[in-house]
Amino acid sequence: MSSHRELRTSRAVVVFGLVVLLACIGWAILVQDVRPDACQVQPPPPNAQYLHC
Amino acid sequence: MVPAAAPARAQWEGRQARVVAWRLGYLTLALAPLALCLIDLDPGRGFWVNLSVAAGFVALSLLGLQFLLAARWPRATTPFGADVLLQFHRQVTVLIVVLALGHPTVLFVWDSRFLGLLDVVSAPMRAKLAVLSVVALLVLVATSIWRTTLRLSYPAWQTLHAGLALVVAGAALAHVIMIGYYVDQRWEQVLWIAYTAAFVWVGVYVRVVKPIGRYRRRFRVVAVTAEGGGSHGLELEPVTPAAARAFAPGQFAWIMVGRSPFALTYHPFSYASSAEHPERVRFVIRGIGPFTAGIGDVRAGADVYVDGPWGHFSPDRVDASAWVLIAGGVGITPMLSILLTRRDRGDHRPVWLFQAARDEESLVAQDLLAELAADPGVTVVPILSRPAATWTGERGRVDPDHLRRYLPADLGEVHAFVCGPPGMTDAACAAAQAAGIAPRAVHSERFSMV
Repeated sequence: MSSHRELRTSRAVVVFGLVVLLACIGWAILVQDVRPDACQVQPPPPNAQYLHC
Repeated sequence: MVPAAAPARAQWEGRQARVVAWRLGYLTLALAPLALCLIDLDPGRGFWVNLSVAAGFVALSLLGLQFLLAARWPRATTPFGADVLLQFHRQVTVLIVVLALGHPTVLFVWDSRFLGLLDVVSAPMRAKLAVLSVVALLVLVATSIWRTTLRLSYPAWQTLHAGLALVVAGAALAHVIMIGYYVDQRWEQVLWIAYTAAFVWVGVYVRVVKPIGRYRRRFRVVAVTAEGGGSHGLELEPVTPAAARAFAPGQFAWIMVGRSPFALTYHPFSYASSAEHPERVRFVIRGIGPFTAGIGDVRAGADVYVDGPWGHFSPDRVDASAWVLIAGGVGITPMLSILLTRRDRGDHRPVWLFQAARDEESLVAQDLLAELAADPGVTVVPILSRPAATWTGERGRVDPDHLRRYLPADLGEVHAFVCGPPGMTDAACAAAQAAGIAPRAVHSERFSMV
């Protein structure tokens, strides 16, 4: 049986993890909105690998 | 009578604000790479590649922060407690592994051409470094989870853990810089290197700089005494007055006897003496491992290096009308400190000590407990699981019935403190709650490191 403290810590880790995952998803969406996609840049950035243009 | 404020109690004040500040600071540092990449942002490469990149950046940032969590830095540890940070350090590793594995997996699924980077013979160095980092991370996790199954000694595991952590962080950092996307500007590369180096420096500080201070503030063995139950008391005094450190009853310290302050492996033991007298401290140690088995042979005058105090397990941090102390085996040691401090402060709040052991021979510090039990406010109840036939006291393992026989009906403001082997601690915490003590008022500190 976990103590009250352990449960609280585990919950904090879960909440933190969800915040981080949401931040990563939000960043992935934001980057596409803030700058043109690499496929729209001529010439494409040389170190942008395997573009789906 | 309100107990006199102990010097160590000051560290509990303002705790909530510090907890919030540290949490926000940790989250900010974890996500800082994402924010920094938005400066002079390179073109996006589709949602899935962007997501993969974000996962990789945050994984690296969290790896650096792991050095901070493991550093035993008082300013960061005190608001939370060493046990909470250790648990967080372990559990956030799951998130790091998810992100670190998610980073390449998303790429592989999105475009199978990325799978070619797994060919470590022909793949470019940046890909080899990524593979090295992930493999080292998985080995680090596996050796931590299965240390005893792999028969790794604790010192060997510590060395391996530190070395693998450096490989994981260093290889991942080199991978990021060699990829050169989002980190192609000189200032960005310098920032990433400095960011990672700062966290690695924390580890260097803990292993090199702090031990120097510990040597200057070392203690000396005054006496070694037999305490029953295969335990010995180690009484210490500081070599210089400045070395005396205030502590709260129930706290613990990491100690190293003899050898060098730079030794990797310190051992955690609870203070067993009164917090009102930090100029003479005592630890009670049971001989169960290679280090503890030799405590009885330690000679007076030997140097002892003490890293402490640590821990949240203390009645000083709660407002209680009475205390229930439940100790199993050598878990009695923090309870001795709590009882002695109570006596020296003139605190008259009732306290019940339930001391669990196998038999009478296993009971520790019986003479001292008999002396403390002369106080009408102190009730000591030994509970033996395998007593001799002549034993007339309580039998079995600590259960709610044992507690109800001695505790008052109204347990509203009573707090329980439980310390002992993991299984016993779990059962005793459950018993305390079943007997009527609120879950938030049941405190324990569990310290199986690895």
